[in-house]
Amino acid sequence: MLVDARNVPEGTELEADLCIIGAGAAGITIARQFQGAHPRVVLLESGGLAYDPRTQALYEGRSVGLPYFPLVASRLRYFGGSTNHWGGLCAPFYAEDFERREWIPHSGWPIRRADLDPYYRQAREIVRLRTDDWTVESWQSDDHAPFELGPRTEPRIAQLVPTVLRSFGRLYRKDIETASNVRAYLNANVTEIETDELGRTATRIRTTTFERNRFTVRARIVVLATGGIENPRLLLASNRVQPRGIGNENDLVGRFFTEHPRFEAAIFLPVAPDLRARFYEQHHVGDSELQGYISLTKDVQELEQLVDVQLLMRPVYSLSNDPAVASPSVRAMRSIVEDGRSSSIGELGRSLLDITRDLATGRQFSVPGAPLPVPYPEVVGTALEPGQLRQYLPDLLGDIAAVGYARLRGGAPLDHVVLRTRIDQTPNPDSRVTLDTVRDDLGMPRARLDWRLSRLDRYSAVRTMEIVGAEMIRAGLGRVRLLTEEDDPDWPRDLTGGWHQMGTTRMSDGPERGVVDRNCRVHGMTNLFVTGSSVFTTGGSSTPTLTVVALALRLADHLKRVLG
Amino acid sequence: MLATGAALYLAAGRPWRTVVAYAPERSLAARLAGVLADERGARVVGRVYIDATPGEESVARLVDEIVASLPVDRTDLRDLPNGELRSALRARVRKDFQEGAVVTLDGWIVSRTEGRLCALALV
Repeated sequence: MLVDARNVPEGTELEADLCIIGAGAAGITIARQFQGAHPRVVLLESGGLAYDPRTQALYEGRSVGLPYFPLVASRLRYFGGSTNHWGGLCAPFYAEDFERREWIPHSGWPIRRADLDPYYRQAREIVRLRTDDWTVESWQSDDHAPFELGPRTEPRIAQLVPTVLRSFGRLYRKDIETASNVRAYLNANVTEIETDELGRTATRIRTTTFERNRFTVRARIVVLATGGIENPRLLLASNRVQPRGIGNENDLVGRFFTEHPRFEAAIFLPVAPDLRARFYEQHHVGDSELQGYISLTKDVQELEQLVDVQLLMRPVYSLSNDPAVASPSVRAMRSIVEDGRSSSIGELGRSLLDITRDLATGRQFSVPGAPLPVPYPEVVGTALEPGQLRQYLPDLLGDIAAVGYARLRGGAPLDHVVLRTRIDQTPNPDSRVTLDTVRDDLGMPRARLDWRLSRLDRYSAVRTMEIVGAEMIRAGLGRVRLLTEEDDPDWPRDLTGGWHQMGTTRMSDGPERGVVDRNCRVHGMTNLFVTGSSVFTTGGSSTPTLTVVALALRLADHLKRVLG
Repeated sequence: MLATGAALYLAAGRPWRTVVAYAPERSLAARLAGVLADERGARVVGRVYIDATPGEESVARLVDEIVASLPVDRTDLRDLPNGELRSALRARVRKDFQEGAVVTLDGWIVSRTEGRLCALALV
């Protein structure tokens, strides 16, 4: 059932077995796991069913460290949470992501990949991917094959969820609406988690609306699922009994803010303009959409003492004025690598051969009057309800345009490729979320972010690019130019995050190293749990959403046992 | 010895610097640099390589380094057919990348052997 909290009488006290704060990917997933079951579930969501600027403004905050996205823009505060602007990329964490690596301080989860495997399978269904086969070999084809580089590197893939299927708010609203034991309160802003006098049990959740009708929720179990910045914010602000905030005896709440740092690390100049790099673009294999990457193997990471760095490629299919490829050495580099290349066919001949080959296999190009393919037509058809097509049309058109554009581009000569990093950031306790002195419209302290990176992050990115670059040159693919050096005093100007906020209530076996235990229960608390990317001990190099959902499923199983 | 004698014979009556220009080391250097298709481009890279690696400005040093890295005797190298010389150098370049024997020149990753070959085109 969906309830507008603005209609809840002032002073109401709600009772529940399970109270979930936040209706994003994690919160909705847990609520659905209790759908139709015995426990009474209350789901509290700050926003409504659509974007509202006033509610969104509650996410405003200050960033004082490395340049970061505006905090008000990096998350969405309405039903479905940040899945409402999710990029759709999915991949599970690797086994080594969970392992303690001696050269990476603060690494090592208290759980293993095997603990999440059954939940990854379920998570894949929830995010509407067709398969949980993540092996590159299963997805290779002549048109979409990774470069044949040496054994120091390995290709990886991620799957993409179609745009129209990404919002958990859209996909699962009906489930929440029709679940008789679940009451989802919209426009309900949690301002404090009250505890008993000892600070060990969450007793009440204080909630208010902009209209100032305040009410509370009492629950046997409370789950905080508001994201990597908001989770620590609420714990820190709930300081009536514990002055440093709930779960913060060891000053760890908000620390270890972890992102997936990205910047352009290198330019790759291909020998042949018809070099097929489509594996590394978003591409279709059958009915699935994929994205390929390059990484170093686990053994090489260990040998070189590096964090994991995935390299993303951005092929550029036309001549560019990018200064990185316009320097006087570029022509010289081109001519040196052309030495020994067979010139019997020539560039025009190769292009004509490609087009002939493509037409013979039935691939589609954007010919005037020809229809462009709609991805996943049967899946989209079952996901949409009658009358919803107009609402989803922009997303559908976006997917169609992406497919068509990719196929258009496929026939154009490859000029160069930009290689960007996605770094498994070294856990850094000085990278943190704290409370600002400024308060929001509801009187809560705003969040203050101080994002920091470590020397190992930069060194790993540069060294990974050096090794991958050497392998690409050795394979005769082209030339590589590094765009940053290990000794650069400043981070590249194009440094950004991946829109992933992780690690701020990290998982650990002991309270001296983290905020929640292996079952996501806050250390020192009897009934308060946290879920979402804030519990990640390390960020991995894969995108977080699939793991967020898997962890939420695992927590739901645990809570079912606790609630009986 | 024989080669030096032949060079001196050929140089009879010519200015001394021309004799030096036909010295065996210079001819080996020319052979090595000659495997690169674009001499002009090689010189551009060679200039950057020499600036980045002090101590490798001389023909003798560059030739020594390249020859030492190849599995071919110096004398045999001079007599190697062009195709085999090119193959040997290509294999060496690939090994450079495999072993990390690279330099970065203005950000470009270049094998040491490549850099030296380009430098030979310049000096």
